[in-house]
Amino acid sequence: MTPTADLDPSERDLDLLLAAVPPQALPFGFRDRVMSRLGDRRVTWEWIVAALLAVPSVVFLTRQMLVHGEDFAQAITNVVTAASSQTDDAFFFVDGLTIIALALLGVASAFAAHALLASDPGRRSVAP
Amino acid sequence: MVTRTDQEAIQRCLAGDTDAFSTLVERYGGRVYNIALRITNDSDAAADCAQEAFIRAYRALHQYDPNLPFGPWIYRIATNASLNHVQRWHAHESPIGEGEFPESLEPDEAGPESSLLRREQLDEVLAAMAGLPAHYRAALTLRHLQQLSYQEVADSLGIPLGTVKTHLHRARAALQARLHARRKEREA
Repeated sequence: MTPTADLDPSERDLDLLLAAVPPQALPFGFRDRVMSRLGDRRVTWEWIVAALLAVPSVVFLTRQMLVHGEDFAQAITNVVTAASSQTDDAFFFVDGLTIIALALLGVASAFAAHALLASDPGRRSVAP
Repeated sequence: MVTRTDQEAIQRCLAGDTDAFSTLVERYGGRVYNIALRITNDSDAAADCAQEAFIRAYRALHQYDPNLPFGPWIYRIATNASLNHVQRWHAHESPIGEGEFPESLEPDEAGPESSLLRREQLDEVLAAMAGLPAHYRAALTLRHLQQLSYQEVADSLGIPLGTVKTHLHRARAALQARLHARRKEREA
C-alpha cells in the first residue's frame, strides 16, 4: 500500500501540496560534527581514565620524593657512578609501591596519548 | 566508503566501530534534519536537534530492536528532541518557510509563471503550518512531507494509531482554516 492510499479524497490536495515541499539541504559538515561529538565522548572517557590512574600515582610519587628524596638521590648517584665504572657498588633501593605507581603513570600516559591522537582534527575524515 | 545495510552498520557500531555510524548519519541525516526543521521552524535549532537525535540514537543503540526498521526509530528520537526543544524555547521567533526555499528547486514544466504560483502556494502553506501547535506540525511533517504511513507516524511519535489519525485530522482542519484566513486577509 502506498503512503497516500489511506487518504480521503478530500485530503489528497493537501497531501499533494505538502509532498511537493522541497527538502532543505543538510547544513555543511553535519556528518562530521555528529561523528566528532561521538569521538569527543570516547576521548572524554579516555581522559577520565588517564586522570584516575595518573593523579593518585603522581601524588604518591611526590610524597615519596618528599619523604625519601635523599634515598632516591643516593640511588641515582650510585647507578651513575657504577655506570661510569668508578666503582662496582651500585646499591639502590626502590619499594614495590613506587614501581606500581610508575607503572600506573605509564598506563595513564598511554591513555592520554591515545586520547590526544583521537582528538586531533587532522585524523578525521573529510565529508565528500 | 563501503555500502552497508542499516543492520550491518548497527552491528558494527555495537561491536565498537564508531565510524560505521557515519553510514546511518549520511543515509538518514537529510530526513531527520527536515523533520526537525519543520517542527522547530528554525534552521539552527533543527541542526542541533538532528545532531542530538543521532547522538542519542548512538548511545541507545543497544536498546534498538534489529527486527524493526531503523528509520522510524531515528525519526521518533528526532521528533522527541525537536518537540522538547520547542517546549523549552518556544521557538517561534524566526519561522522559516516564507521565501526560504533551496536554490535547487526545479522549475515547473508548465513554465516560470506556474512555477512562481506553485512556489507562492508552498510558501503560504509552510507559513500557515509554522503557526500550528508543534505536535500538529510533527504529525503533518511525518505524514505529508516525509510521506510516512499512518502506522509509521504512530511509531515515530510513539502514540496509538487512532490518536495519530485524530491529530492529523485536526491538524489538516487547522491548516485549512489558517490558509483560508490568510487568503481572506490578502483579499481584504
